[in-house]
Amino acid sequence: MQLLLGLLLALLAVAVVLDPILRGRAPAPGPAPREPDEARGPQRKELALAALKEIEFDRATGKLSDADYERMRSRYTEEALAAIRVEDSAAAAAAARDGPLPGGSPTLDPVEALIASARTAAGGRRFCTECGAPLEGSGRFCVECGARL
Amino acid sequence: MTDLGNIALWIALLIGVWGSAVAFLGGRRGRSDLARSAERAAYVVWGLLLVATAGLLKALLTHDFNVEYVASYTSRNLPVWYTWSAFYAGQKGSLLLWAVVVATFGAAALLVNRGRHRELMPYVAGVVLVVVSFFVAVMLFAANPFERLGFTPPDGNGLNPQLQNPGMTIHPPMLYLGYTSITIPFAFAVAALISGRLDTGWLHAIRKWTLLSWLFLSAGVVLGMWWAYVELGWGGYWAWDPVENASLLPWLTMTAFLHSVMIQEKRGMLKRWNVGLVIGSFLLSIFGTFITRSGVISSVHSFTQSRVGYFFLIFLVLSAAVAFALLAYRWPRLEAESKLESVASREAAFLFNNLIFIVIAFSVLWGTLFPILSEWLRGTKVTVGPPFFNQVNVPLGLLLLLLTGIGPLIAWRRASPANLRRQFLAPALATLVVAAALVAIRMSDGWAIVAYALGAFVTATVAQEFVRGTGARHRLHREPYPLALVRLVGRNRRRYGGYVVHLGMVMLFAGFAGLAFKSDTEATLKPGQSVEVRSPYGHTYRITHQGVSQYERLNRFVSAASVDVFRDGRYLGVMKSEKRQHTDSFGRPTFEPSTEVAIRSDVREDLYIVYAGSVQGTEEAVYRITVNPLVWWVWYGGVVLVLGALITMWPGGGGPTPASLRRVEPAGYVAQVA
Amino acid sequence: MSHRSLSVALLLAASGAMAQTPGPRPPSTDSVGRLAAPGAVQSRERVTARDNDLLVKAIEGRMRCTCGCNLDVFTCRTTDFTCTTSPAMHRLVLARLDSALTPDQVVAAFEAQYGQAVLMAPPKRGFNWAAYLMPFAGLGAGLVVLGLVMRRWVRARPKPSPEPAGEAAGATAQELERLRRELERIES
Repeated sequence: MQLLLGLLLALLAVAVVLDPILRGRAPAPGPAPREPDEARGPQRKELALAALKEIEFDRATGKLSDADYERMRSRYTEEALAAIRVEDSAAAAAAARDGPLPGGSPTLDPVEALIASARTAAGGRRFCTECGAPLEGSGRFCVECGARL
Repeated sequence: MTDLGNIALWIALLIGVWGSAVAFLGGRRGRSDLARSAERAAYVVWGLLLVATAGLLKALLTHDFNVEYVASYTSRNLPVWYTWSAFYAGQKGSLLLWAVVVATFGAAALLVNRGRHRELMPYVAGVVLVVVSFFVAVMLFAANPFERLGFTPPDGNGLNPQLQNPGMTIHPPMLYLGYTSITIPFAFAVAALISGRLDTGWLHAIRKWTLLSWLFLSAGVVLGMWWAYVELGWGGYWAWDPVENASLLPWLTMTAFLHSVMIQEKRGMLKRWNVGLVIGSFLLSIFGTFITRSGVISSVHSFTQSRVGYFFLIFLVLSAAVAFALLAYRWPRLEAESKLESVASREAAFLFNNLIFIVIAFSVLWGTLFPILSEWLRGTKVTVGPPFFNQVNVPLGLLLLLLTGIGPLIAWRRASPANLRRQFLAPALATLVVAAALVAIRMSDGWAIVAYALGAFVTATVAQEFVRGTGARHRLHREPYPLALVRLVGRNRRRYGGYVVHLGMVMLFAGFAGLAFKSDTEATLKPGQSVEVRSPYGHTYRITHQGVSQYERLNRFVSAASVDVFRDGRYLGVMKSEKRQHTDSFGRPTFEPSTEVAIRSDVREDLYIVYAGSVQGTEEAVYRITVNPLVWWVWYGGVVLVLGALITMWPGGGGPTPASLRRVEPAGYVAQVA
Repeated sequence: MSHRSLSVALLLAASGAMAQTPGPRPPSTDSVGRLAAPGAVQSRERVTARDNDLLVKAIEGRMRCTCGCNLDVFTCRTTDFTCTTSPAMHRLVLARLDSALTPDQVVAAFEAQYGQAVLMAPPKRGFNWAAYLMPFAGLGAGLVVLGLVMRRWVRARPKPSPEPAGEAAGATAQELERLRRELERIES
C-alpha cells in the first residue's frame, strides 16, 4: 500500500517537474539581459536624493556643520541633476522611438513626458505601434503580433 | 507512513539533484523552461520533505518502536508535547528538521520573489536545492531516521530528561530556523555572483531574510541560554562550549553584515566585503553543524560521534571553495562606487565595528579550534575553557559596546570637530557620572564598572538620538512632538529599530557584567535547619529546609526538597527543587536522576537553589544556593532585542521607498514576467 | 517531628502553615526521617566549611574535571551529582592544600599529574601564547589594514570644490524645480 503511494508520489513529482520542459519554452520569452550599467542611472539618482535628505536631517540634529552641509548639498545636487539629465535624455530618446503617447500632448516638456510615461506604464493603457492592439502590462513585446515595442 | 517517508526522501534526493542541475544549466543558457523546472523541483522537494516529516511524526506519535529512531528517543509514557522535542533529539531527526526547514525557506523565497529577479532566481533555486539535497543524501547514506530494527522492543529508551523542558521545545527549532535561513541570503549572493547581476537588487531581495535569520539566531541563542540556566543547574547560562560558540559565530558575522550593508546601500562601498560576510555566515552555520555532529571537538552538546561529521566537512570545504572562487571571479566587478569622505564619519565607525565583530568571531573560532591545533602541531592536549574566552572577549566586547555608542553620534560622510563635541557631551557626562558613582560605592570589579559606564554611554546616545531626531522633525516638518516621534520611528524603522536593539544589547551586557558578583554556597540542612547567604546588595537570605517529599508523576518519580526563604527577616515564600528519576512505561528507570532547579528571579538578582542530594538516604539534604545578580536583564534584554528587530522588519516604512525599488527593478520588467 | 518524615501530603499542606511561624526550630540531630525511596536521590556527603572556601573554589575553577564533562571541578561537583571524579579531585585539592602547598603549586601538581588539559585555560607559556595573542594580533593587523584602506579611500575621493558653488552651477530653474519635486517624493 505504502509502496503504491510512494510510486504515485514519484510519478506526480516527476510530472510536475518535467511539465515546463515538455511544454517547451515558447510561451515565456526569457527576459532580454539588461546592460549592467542601465540600472546604475536611476540608482545613482536615488542615492543622491537620499543623501540630500539625509544631510538635511543630520544638520537638523546637529551632526553636520553648516559648512560641510553646504559643500555636500551642492555636490549631491549636482550629482542628482546629472542623473536626472541622463534619465531625461534617455526618456526623450524612448519617447521619440515610441511615437506620441496617447493622452499625452507632444508639447509636454521632457519631465512631464517622463512622468506621463511612468503613469502609463503603471496603470494606463498603451497600444501596439505595429498592429494597434491594446497592450496589457508594460511588456517589451506585443501579445498580438509579437512586435518589439 | 515510515516507508512512505523513506520513499519520499529518495524521490526528494533524485528530484533535488535533477533540480540543481537544470537550475544552473537553465540559468547559464537562459532557458526559462529549465529554470521553471528547477523552481518546480524546489517546491516538489519541499512537499516530499513534508511527507517525510509527517512520516516520522506519525511513527513517533504511534510509538512504532520498530523504527530505531523512535525506540532510541521516546517511550510510551513520554508526554505528547515532548514527542516534538524527540523529533530533533537525535542526529537523524535533526537532519530531517534541518532539511525540511531549508526547503520551506527556499520555497518561500521562490514564492515571494516569483516574477522578480528573473536572472537570479534559477540560481537561488539551484543553491537551495544543492543544500537540501546534501542534507537528504546525508540522511539516506549515513543517518536514516526511518531505519528499522530487526525486532520490535516493547518500549523505547525515553527522551533525555534535560530535553523534557518547555525551553527545549522552542530553543533548538529557533536556532535551526536561524542557521537555515542564512541559506537564502547565501543563495542570493551566489546567484548574484554567477549571474553577474551585482547591483543592489540582490541586497534588496535578502534584506528581510538577513533580518529574519538574525532574529531567529538571536532568539535561539538567548533561549538556549535560558534553557541552560533553568535546566542544567550550574547557575550560569553561557559556558563557551564549542556548540554555544558555533551558534554565536554566524550571529556575529550576520550582525556585522547588517551594519556594513547600510554602507553599500547608501554609498555603494564594501560590496566585496558584504558578499564575503554572507558567504562566511553560511559557512559558519554549516561549520556549527559539523562541530555538533563530528565529535572532533568534545562538547556537552555533541551527538554521538559518527561519520556524518565528515560529510559536513567535505560539504563545508566544497562550498567554501566554490563560493570564494566565484567571489574572486567577480572581484573586479565589485568595485566600490564612491570613496570615504572622512575618517570622522559613520562609515568609518561602521568599518571599525565590523572589524571588532570579525575579531570577536575570529577569537571565538580560534579558541574553539585551538585544542585541535595544539594537539596537531605539538601533540599537547589543552583545554580552552571560559577563563580563556573571558580574558580575550571581555575587552573586545566592551570595545564593541563603546562603538555601539559612538557610531550613532557621527554623521554619515563627514563630521566636524564642533559637531562631535556637541554630540558627545551628554553621553560622555552620563558615562562619567555612572563610573564615578560605581567607584564611590566601591564596586569591586573593574570590568563591571567599565561595562556599566559604557552601558550608560550607549543608553544616553540612543536617548539623545530619539530626542534630537524628534526635535528635528518637529522643526523641519512642523509636526507636534508625539507625531514627530511616531513618524521618526515609522519612517526610518531600520535606524530606530536598530537603536532599540542597541538598548537590548546594553541590557544583555548589564546582565553579563552581573556575573562578576555571582556567589555559590553549599549547605547540608536537616529539616528545620537554616543557612544564611549574603547577596552583593547587602541583603541576607535565610533559607530553612522543610523536608523532602516523594511522589510519582507522569513518567517520573519525583523527590522534592522544599525550603522557606526569608530576605532580611521578611518571608518571601517556599522554593522547591526536585530530583527526577525518569522511568519507562514498565516503571524501569531510564536515566540517572536529574535535577530541577528552584529559581526566584527579580530585577535585582536571582536566588537559585539546587537540591544536590541527601545524606545517606535521609531527609537531611545538601543544597547549593547561588545568588546571581541581574540575570533578569539577560532575558528581558533578549526580549528587547527581538522587539527592536521586529521594528526594523515591520513591513513598509523604513528602507528604500517603494519608488526606489521600482527603479531598481524597472516596472516593465516586473509586469512582463508576472 | 517524626510525623513529617515521610508523608508527602502533610508536608505540602504544612508548608503553608509554616509560613506563619518562621521561628527557628531546634535542630534535630537524631530524628531525621529516611526517604521512602532513597535510590531516587543521589547520596551526598555532608558539606564542610572548607567546601565553601573561596580559595578552594578558585583553585577548582581553574581545573577541568577529568570525567569528560567539560566542566571545571567546582561546577561539576556542584552540578553533576552523578560524577565521582570531581568529588575525588576536590578531596585531592584539600589534601594538597593541607600539605602546605600554595594554590599555584596545587594547580601545578595537578598539571604534572594529568597534563595541560586539566587546566581550564591553556597556561600562558610557549606556544600557548599564540592562543592569547592571536585575537589581539588580528585586531592590530585589522586596524593597520583598515587604516591604510581608509587613508587610500579618503585620498582618492574627488576633491571637494574649494568654494561651495552656491546653487549647482549651470542648472536651469526647471531642473531645480524637478529636483525639488523628486525630493518631496521621497518620504522622510
